[in-house]
Amino acid sequence: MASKGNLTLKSCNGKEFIVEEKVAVMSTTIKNMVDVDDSFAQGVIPIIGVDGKILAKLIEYCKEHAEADEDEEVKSEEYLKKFDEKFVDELNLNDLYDLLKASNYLEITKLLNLLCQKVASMIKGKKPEEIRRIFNIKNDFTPEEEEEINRQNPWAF
Amino acid sequence: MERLPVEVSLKIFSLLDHQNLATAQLVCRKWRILASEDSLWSNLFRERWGLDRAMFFAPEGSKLWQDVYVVQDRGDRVGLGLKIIREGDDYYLVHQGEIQRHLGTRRPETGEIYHSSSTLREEEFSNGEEPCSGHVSLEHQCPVCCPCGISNSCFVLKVVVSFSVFTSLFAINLKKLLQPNLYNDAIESGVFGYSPKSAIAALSFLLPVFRSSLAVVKE
Repeated sequence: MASKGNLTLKSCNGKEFIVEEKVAVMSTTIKNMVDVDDSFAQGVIPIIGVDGKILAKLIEYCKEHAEADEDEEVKSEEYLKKFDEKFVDELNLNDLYDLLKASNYLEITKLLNLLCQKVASMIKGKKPEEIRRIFNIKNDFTPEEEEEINRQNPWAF
Repeated sequence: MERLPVEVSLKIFSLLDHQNLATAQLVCRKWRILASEDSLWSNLFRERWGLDRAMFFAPEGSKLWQDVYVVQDRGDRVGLGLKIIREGDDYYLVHQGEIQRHLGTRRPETGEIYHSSSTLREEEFSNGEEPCSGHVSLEHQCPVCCPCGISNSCFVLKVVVSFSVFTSLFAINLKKLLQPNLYNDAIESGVFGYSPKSAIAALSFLLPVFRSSLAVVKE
């Protein structure tokens, strides 16, 4: 049972995390749940479809940002920027996708934006073959289709 | 990316510029559909040219925002007048950024320009000059001259002749290809930087040169 001001979040594989309310409500979805129904604030909040590993990551991110929002002197903007960079750089592709899905579902807008920026930066300036390699995507075009699409692209040259 | 909800994928694609978005369409079928989303291209158009122009150029009928974007971008790149441009290996006649005609395709390995059949049909040569003959006879010469170790000169000739035939054909047929006002446009702005008349003059100068070179090659 969480003490006052704390919430208990439970991942889909049964892992429980006790977090401060200010950290948990970085997620608009959780904030709405707590606001609407007080019993959530007392009991355990199940986070459907998010496993323990990803939930721990989410909490790590939210904790840093919630603390920074509260006290700008301890965690400056520059510190946060560095933290964000390190945070996304350490992710593998699977974690990146899982975090994107989770932050979308939990409406952690800041994190969602950060992760989308990260994926976009992985696409920018790359050739289609490079993108396929990075994202592990199979080319399902026929050679004829590919040539036709290439011809239609006025910026391919 | 397949695992992501559509709204997240679109959010990611909305962070790309037009070139990267066009590249994303080449990755796979799924990406092609996502990166073709009309709202992405409409946003890009608005960001680049503003709301007023976006409203004015809004696509009609079966056209998409991407089509409108491409035309507007080409207009910015090459200018609004009547132009001949090359995109990749294809030559186009464009006016106000919009492709009017596909003029031909260049074969990268030889540098030759092949007229597309849709553009230059037989019935369009009504002046009896058979402008294609230089081109055709050159094709016949090729197997003869290449084994003699003069393939380089042959290559240069091919390029020169292809270019001049191409230019003259365009000049001769310009009047028929275009509306009268566009024709005047072309005369004023010039084609390839000079007028069709000088293109014909250039051709009549080049053809004898070419014929004499062929004679040399035959000997």
